[in-house]
Amino acid sequence: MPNFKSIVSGSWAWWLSGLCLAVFGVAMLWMFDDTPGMSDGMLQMAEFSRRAAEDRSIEQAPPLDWQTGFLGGIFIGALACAFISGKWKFALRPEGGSGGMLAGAGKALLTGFGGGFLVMLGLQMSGDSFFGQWISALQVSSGAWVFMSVFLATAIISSILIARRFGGAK
Amino acid sequence: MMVTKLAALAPLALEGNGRMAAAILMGIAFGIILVKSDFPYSKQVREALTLKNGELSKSFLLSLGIGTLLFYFLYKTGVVTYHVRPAYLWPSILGGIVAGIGMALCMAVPVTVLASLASGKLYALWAILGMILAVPCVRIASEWLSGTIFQWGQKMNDPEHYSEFFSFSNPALWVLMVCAVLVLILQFALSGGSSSGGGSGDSGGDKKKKE
Repeated sequence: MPNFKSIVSGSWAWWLSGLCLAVFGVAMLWMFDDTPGMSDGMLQMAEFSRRAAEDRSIEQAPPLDWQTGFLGGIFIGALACAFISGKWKFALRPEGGSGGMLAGAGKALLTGFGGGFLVMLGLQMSGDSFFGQWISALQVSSGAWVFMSVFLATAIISSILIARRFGGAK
Repeated sequence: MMVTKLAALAPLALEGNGRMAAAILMGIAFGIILVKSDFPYSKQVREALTLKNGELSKSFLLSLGIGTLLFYFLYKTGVVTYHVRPAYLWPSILGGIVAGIGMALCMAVPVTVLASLASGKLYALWAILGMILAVPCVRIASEWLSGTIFQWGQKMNDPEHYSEFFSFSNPALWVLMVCAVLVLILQFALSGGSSSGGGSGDSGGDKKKKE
């Protein structure tokens, strides 16, 4: 008999997560019959942010189409689930990092900003968002598999090198 | 009978307000799946990428294997159709390298960084800002990119569908086998379930039972 309380409150086992992700990905293709990558949504939000920064005001609401709606839904779902599961925790820096609060927050700024910039740059070069690449990989797209393989190999090697050079998380 | 019922279904291809409502609901579901799977939490991602914990890696590989299998059979029955953006070899490779380095720094991709911010991790804002800034930078560099990187190599072939599943030329079978082997290797080689012990990890106070 499945323990429903632990399913609601705790983290899922890896096999349940994998299964849900797989079903979700295929369901997206069935429901929308479109390339479900979020790159267009990200581009719209980036354009909106650029205009807001230039005008120094927010006169119009962010663009709302199905991709930005999906991104908004992710935020809402994650927020609700984090609260219900007891996983919501205010943090200015990743836990387990070395150094004091200020040093950790500064490091989070640099690595977060630089890392985020490189992630989006790489995704834009490859032509799709990570979500889109993953969905394309389910469809056995050779381009998506090339990207995924190179991405994961580079991420693993870089993470190990960074951990050895600067010390891993405690 | 199940196959017959599925064959009567075609892609739903939602439009208009229904599409928007479905997108929001699916986004909510995805946010829940991400949080439950620990993908938005930098500590778990770091442990996965430094090969200390195999849970996230196994989840990801399983999703690829099962998803490929599901897509293969549902495509055969006409329930889903192919929707893949054009891909080019060298941009995919270079993009993978650049994005992989970025991932090692910020431990997030665009969808997981949103979920991370929603979980109270304010430091995720920096990654989001970096991602937003990258878009106009790519636009500025797009002319140079179009004349260089995007000219290298040819467009990669579109996915092909093989009618016989148990055929060595069927890439879906290969994907399934490779994912299965990697999951088995991770299952026996790496520990699992240790990252949120004690309730002090990024995932908050939840206690995860060891497999």
